[in-house]
Amino acid sequence: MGKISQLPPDSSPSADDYTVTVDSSTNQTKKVRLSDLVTSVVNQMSSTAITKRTLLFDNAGGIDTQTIGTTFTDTTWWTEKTFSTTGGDIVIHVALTYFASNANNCYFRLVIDGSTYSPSSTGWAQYNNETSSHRLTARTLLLTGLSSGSHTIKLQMRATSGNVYKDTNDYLNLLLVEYIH
Amino acid sequence: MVKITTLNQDILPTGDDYTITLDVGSSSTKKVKLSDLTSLIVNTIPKNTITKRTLVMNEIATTDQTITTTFQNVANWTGTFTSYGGTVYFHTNFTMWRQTVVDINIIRLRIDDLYVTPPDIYGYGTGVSMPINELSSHKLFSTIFTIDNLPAGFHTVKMQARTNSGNVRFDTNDYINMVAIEYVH
Repeated sequence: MGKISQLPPDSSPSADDYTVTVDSSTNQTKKVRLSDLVTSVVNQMSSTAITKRTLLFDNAGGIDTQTIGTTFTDTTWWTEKTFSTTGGDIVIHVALTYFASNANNCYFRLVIDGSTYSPSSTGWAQYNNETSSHRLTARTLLLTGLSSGSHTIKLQMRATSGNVYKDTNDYLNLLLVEYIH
Repeated sequence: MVKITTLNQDILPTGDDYTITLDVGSSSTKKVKLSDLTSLIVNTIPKNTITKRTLVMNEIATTDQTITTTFQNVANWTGTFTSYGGTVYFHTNFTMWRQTVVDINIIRLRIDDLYVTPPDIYGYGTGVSMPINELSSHKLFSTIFTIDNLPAGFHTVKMQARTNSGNVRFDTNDYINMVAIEYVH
């Protein structure tokens, strides 16, 4: 932590702006440069004062095989996680692989607190031409208006026709970055 | 907004360094902990003044389109944002496909019809390249476009594409999502 006692005093300020501080090690007031004081203030800020980073899934491989039809369904193994915010905007970086039985669109969405969807309740679409072929899908999503406190998040997916699958060769990466200011 | 009047006054500082503030609520100076003042300053910073986040394109589908060797706007894939003049990173994800021959697809972002990123310094049609080997297969393109020194104010962005040979295709099953994060400070 930066301390005022570490700031160099200047008894004859001339070209720069100065401010008066109290050095409790000497119990005396002293003039210090505003730029030095600002640097001290910035150095005292916590690492999550401006942005807060939460890695929920770190290239998490699956341990099971899951078959999902045409209705949005929670993913197993990549199950619901909890995170906390201080009310800022959340930028969600999500990437995963999957495969499908039919040549068609598959849909993906994130569910926050059971009723808020990102990017929407429809989700995002990824078209699959090759069946039974692992494919990558990825999004950077912006989630605003989330209240300060603890929240849950989970991944759901569905197929347009046939099934969408994940197995032990599929991976999920999910990173939340909260921008507080 | 948090005010200095909320900071605790300490007449006899002992363990921490202190600074003097003017509490206009009582018209008197008072000594406060620098750490308390720091927290107050941080909490007073308005939202979107350090970084600014904008959802520029939200899962927008394009239309049937064939683009050859000259940069063209991808239909419907345009959006707007307002900047403070900082560095802007455009987090971009979309799909596209090829129909006839295997080759490289080249993508760029056009801003206000004045700037492109990545910059085409020599006029060779530079962009971000992505080869596609499988024909008639929608492929995900994921990148971050960057632009510096953009004037503060309102801006329009358009996604553009071209290829070295044959054509690059888009249809109603291709979607784009773009989030701009501007780093103001």
